[in-house]
Amino acid sequence: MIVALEGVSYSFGARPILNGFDFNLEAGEQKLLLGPSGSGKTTLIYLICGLISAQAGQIEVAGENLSTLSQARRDAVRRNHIGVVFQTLRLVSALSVRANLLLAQKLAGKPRNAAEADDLLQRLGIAHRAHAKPAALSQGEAQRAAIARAVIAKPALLIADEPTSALDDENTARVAELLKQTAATQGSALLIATHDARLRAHFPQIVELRGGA
Amino acid sequence: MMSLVAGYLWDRKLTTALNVLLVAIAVALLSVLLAFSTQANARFTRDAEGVDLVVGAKGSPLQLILSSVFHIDQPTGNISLESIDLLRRDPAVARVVPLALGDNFRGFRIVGTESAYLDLQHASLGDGRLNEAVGEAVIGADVARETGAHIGQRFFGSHGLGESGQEHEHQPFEVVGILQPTGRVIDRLIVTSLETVWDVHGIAHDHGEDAHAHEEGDEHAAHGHSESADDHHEHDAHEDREHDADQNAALRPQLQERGALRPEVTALLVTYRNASAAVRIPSVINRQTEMQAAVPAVETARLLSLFGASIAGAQIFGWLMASVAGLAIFVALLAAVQARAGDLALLRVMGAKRSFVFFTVLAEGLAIALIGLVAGLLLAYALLWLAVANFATLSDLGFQPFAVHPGLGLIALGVIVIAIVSALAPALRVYGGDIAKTLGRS
Repeated sequence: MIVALEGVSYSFGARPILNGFDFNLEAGEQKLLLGPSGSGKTTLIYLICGLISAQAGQIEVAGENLSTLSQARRDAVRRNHIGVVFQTLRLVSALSVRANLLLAQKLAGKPRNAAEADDLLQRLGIAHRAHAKPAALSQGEAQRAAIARAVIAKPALLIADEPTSALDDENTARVAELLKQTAATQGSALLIATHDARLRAHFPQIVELRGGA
Repeated sequence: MMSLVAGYLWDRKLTTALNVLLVAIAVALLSVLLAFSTQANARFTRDAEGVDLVVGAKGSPLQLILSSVFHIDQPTGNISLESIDLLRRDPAVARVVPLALGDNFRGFRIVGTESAYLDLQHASLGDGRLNEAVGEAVIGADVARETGAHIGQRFFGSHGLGESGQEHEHQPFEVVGILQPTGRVIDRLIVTSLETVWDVHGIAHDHGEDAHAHEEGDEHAAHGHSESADDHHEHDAHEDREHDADQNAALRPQLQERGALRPEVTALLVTYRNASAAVRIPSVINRQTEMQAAVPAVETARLLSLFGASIAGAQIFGWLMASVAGLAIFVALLAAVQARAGDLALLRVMGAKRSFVFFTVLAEGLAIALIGLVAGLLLAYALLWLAVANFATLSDLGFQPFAVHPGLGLIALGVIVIAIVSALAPALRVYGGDIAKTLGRS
């Protein structure tokens, strides 16, 4: 089990976001977490990443119980096991695409492997943009570069937060397939949190999130 | 981390360049002031070493010290040869070294003196031998290096202490020795005998008048000649006092006939035998003779206090500039971490430790300071080089534009501390930032 949530609750002040939420994701599994805006998808990602702590329940990632870990240990779990692709925040702006990938390797405690980075960029079809800064990339190129950055260190879990919300149908299908293929190739489990119902067609396993449960 | 810091600095090229410029100007100003004050202090202290008193013609005591000890100003006039014996007879006096100034070779002063002057300057021969006969000269290490003069070379001295004086074409000098570098004023002097200086100026002198020289063990040959007090111009070398050599030559026989031309010296460098002399001798000379006695330590201290007040003021300004540079780094980094809050949050999501993002911001401030430090030092050395190349007083002082002073370490440390303090607040802001909130805003 790469992710296991049991009875997880989280609220912003008096407003409950998650209420006794249970969720499991096996190694290599691919799931779609579907829910409207405000349903708690992003909160759930932050909880799995250890960026915030659950107010109740247990969260286990890669065999580590986040509820009992210090912030530094939660950082280590994220560093060693999780890659995240956000909707807008994709790459470190001051670095080229390639440098972003090398930095991700380094932060994950792996040796910098430029050949591996170039190979991944090649597979994602953006090798020609390896030395471009993020600001110079098109929407699609930036999306692919962000996926490359998230999976370069071969994390056990790849999380994508609203990866297709700004894309048309054709590109939505392309990104969904890219995520699936890349996660599979890299040996990562895949969790996509989205409100985009168009992705239903690409993922047989769907968890719907409504009212925090 | 370094590529990330370099990337962020490059992303804000203009801001980075302006901050670097601010640091560089502050460092350059502080370094130039340090070089001036350190070298001037060291030079004045070193050159005045062993000289307790300077006796010369009435006038400004500071001018007398500057011209006779440091060789950077015009002499106050000449004094009679009798003054040498007067002082040497005093039991409280250990050493009297006479100096006859007035000429130069390519801007390097020619000093008529005795061999004791070399001892006073801790000078030793690097090549050749000491001057013995009239017309022979020993040159300082800087003179040899900068003029290319060598043993056996003959040259003509020019009248006055500046380069533009008229040449004494009738009396060449011959280089018989080159001194080893001393780091003292003698490196930039041409040393010859008193008699040579008198001969160059056509002043007759005889053995009787030079008896004092032999008492001190001076081996120079003595010639009989004289020069009148009115002919101080010959030695004073003030440009406005310089007169035509031919006219002099015409007047000389008449003056000698009247007994007006007598050999004289410009100044006497006196070393006491005991401390009691320091109270009595200057007082006697200043009250009871036509000469003046000036104490190098007093005049140098006065000069340095005047000089030092300006240096201190400028140093305060320099550190104020460094603080302004620090403030600019603080403002720039604060704005930068706000602008790239998302980036830093992404780094944390990617697994970067808090310390990593903290040191990234700190390193950015430090990098600006270090680049500014290096640029400032280069700028300072360039300015010092230009100053020495363009201001004769600095080259006369033997100012070394590329000298490395220990105080530079303090400037570097100060700039680094200012940079760290400036970068600390933005770095701490990042260190304690809430990633989830930042991601939510992004």
